[in-house]
Amino acid sequence: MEIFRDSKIGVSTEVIGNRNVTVDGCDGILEYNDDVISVKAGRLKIKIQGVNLKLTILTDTEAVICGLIKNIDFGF
Amino acid sequence: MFSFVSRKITGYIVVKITGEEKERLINLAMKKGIRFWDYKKINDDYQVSMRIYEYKRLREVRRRCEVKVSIVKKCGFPVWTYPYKNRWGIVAGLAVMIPLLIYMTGQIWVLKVSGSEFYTEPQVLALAEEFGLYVGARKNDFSGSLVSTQLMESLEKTTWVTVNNKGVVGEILIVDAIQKPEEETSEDIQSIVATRSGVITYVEAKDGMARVEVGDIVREGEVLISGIWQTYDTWGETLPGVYTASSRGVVLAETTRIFTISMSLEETEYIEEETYVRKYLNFFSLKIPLNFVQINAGQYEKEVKEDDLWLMGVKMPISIEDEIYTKVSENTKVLTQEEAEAELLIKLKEEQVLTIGVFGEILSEDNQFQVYENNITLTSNCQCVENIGAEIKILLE
Repeated sequence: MEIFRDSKIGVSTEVIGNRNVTVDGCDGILEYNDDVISVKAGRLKIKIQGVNLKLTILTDTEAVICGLIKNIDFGF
Repeated sequence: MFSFVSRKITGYIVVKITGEEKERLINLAMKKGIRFWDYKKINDDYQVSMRIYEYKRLREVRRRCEVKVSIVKKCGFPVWTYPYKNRWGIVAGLAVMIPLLIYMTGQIWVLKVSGSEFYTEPQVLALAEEFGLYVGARKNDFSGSLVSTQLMESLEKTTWVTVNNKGVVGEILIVDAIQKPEEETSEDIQSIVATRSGVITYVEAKDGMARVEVGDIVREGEVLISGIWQTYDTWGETLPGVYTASSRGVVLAETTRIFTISMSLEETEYIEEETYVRKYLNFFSLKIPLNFVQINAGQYEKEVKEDDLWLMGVKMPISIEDEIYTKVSENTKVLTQEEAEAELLIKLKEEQVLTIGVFGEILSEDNQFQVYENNITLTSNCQCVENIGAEIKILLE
């Protein structure tokens, strides 16, 4: 399920079930815990909350987060 | 999968990042193109995996952040081979062994033939060699299906030939053709005559005219079942024409036979004394001695045992061969009369079975032993029942 894509911002967030989130256009991580992972994507700050969260892939453009995802917040 | 293999080949390390600005270090490293994977958070520290050659670049980034980076684990091919980097012998050995192994396993080293009763193994192997399949042939140089077709065309008494290739072992499996049974030719006229004199006890004429009955006394050469005969009508008059047949049948008669068997009372027996074992390693066609055993002069019995190496049901061209030399010495043993008589009786039974055949039966026997110098002789006068019929052809002009 693709819930957000903004070609102007250049960020796309793809959610597969409640287990996997791929943030394309990621600029870096802000916070990394088992319960919360926050990533920066342009002007967006994407905060993913859940249980046993794990950052499986982090490149200069992409971040893949796995775990039991409960909530995704988009802020500026 | 590809990245997993490439990481194993190029090598990677697991580092622990501790400090306040862990996220900043990761972001800066990411901007520099340093790739991390397997992110784990252990207590307050991060643990990530990275390639070995990127670690120096990470140290530059680390200076800009208040973090400490320590290596937890090293993995991959460069790490495993690092202790051997100055051991050129191992590298040279591997460099020689791997191409040699690839070359050697590309050939057929063992060739087996099975399934044929009409053709011997050397015949089939000689024919297969003409079609390119022989011990030492490159596996890429011949086609199994083509060779099997060519063999099928050449070997007339086969219905199917399969050429299998299991590793370095080639197998030629042959299924023989079932031969058409030969019809009994009724053109030959033959009679059955007596080979010995005796009293007839049983007559069975499957073809032809029986000339004897149970209780008749016959002599050697007398016709028992005739291949030529005339028939009579109900009034006893001879009908015109002569009937012929290829006589077959069984005629049993009570006969008398005398068996004479002799043997020496002195018997030579061989006593085993010492045993020497020479071991060899058969590696493809090479025979490499594994030990050096000196064998003194004398009389030896040689026995060869071979232990083959099997891998997943396939015989490998590697085996351990034992040559066992057993020193033997001759010893002359003098038999007692009882022992000699017992041995002679066993030989008599064997001789009787060979002489009177499967139909034969011994009714009675009178055995007499006679010792002369070092020899003992058994004379047996036997009453027996045996098949005395023998076929002879009759030539008509």
